[in-house]
Amino acid sequence: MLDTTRPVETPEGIELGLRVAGPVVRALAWCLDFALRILIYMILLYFFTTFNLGDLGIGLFLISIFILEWFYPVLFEVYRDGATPGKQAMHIKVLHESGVPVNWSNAMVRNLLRAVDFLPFLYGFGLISMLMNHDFKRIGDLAAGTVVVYEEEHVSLKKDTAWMAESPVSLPVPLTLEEQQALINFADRSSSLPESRLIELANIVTPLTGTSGKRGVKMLYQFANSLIGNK
Amino acid sequence: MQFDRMEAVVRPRNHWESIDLGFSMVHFWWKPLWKIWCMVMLPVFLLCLFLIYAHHFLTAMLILWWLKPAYDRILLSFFSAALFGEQPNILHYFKGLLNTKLLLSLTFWRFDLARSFHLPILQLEGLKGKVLHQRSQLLHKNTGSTARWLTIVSFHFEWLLSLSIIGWLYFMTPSLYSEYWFSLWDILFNEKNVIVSMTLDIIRLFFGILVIGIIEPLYVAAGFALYLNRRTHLEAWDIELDFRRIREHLNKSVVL
Repeated sequence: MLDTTRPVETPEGIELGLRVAGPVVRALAWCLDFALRILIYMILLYFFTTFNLGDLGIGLFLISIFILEWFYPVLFEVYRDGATPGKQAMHIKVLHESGVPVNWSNAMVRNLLRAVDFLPFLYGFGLISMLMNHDFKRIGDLAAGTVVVYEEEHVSLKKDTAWMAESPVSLPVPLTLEEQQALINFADRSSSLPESRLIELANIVTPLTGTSGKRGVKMLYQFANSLIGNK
Repeated sequence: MQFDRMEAVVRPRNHWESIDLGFSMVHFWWKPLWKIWCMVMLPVFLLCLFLIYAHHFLTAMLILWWLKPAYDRILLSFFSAALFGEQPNILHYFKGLLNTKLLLSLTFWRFDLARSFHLPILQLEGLKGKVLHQRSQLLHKNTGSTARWLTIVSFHFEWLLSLSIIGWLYFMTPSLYSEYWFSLWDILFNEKNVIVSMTLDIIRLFFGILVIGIIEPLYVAAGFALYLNRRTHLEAWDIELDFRRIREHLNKSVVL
């Protein structure tokens, strides 16, 4: 089955899927970071020229460009949970292939090889490499063994929804965890679905609810209510 | 749409993630895709060659670019068939050119910034008039801006790749000859020798087609994936699949 997740097994033997991020969102994150750096350079240039430092100012300015260009991503990736400000804005971050945060050597290798990805012009090689790789890795990622992934979305139930007012009814038959999740999902997303669609969905699980139509929908709400622990 | 037969995992994704799914479609089916794609591009290539032969290089490039909505339709027929595990014969793909408002797309809608997102609505749903308008507005609601960003980014990827090819050729040139690169501009625009200028034009056309060939399938697939994702959210496809599994599970346990 086609998907954009990369399976990772944790030491505890749990299989996780890292949701790897592709070229479009990463390009936009890069643009944001680039814009931010340009802004910093402009401020620095203003600072160095107003203080009339002459050649010393130009020298300091060039050194600061060197430091920012090479270490801006490294520092953010190591100390700010794998995300530069641009990545943070796009809700993506860098992780090691095994799902753990990147360390210094990963971040250094990944960002030193940025120079190769940048060739021949504005990340031409990086783009080609991302398109040819299953996990959208650019050359730096391949060398450092890192992936760029989407941040986990913290899902919580919508507050104050009508279905929570239904009296909870416990399930007549045991269901697996995924199946229970589906019932809660159904109730949680019910406010964004038209009623006809809700009935259609509820009719599929008639063996569970024992009824159909509007009463089936109501029944599912009641099951979901007991599953989330409303008494 | 029988999404239970779909060869991609049905789950509600965020917008960017669904774009990535489109990119992996291209990654996954690149072999059959390029077979079709070459067949689409061959006649266009020949037409452009003829125009270059008639000294209309810019017209040739303009036509190559302007006809994109037509290629998009064939690509989308491919992706929508491949996603359901079908491999119809070649002619089927070209049917995508019929009854899909191609003329409108080539004229009024050519500069539509969410082109690849709107295409599946036009081509796969077969709606008309007011219903079509309402339908695209509904789907557009929260995916529209991502679809526009997709177009903007794809456009940038295209010129970036073109310049990358030129840069790569420059790097590959032995330094002995690299000074010729600085007179390239002069050669491109003022070359009197017909054979030299025409050869250069053909090379440029070839790279133009190559770049469109790389980016356009990605763009169409990403738009298609955005469309699928929007419908997954809107119609709760993932819940339907889960519910069907529950039903199967229960029916089985009754039999046992």
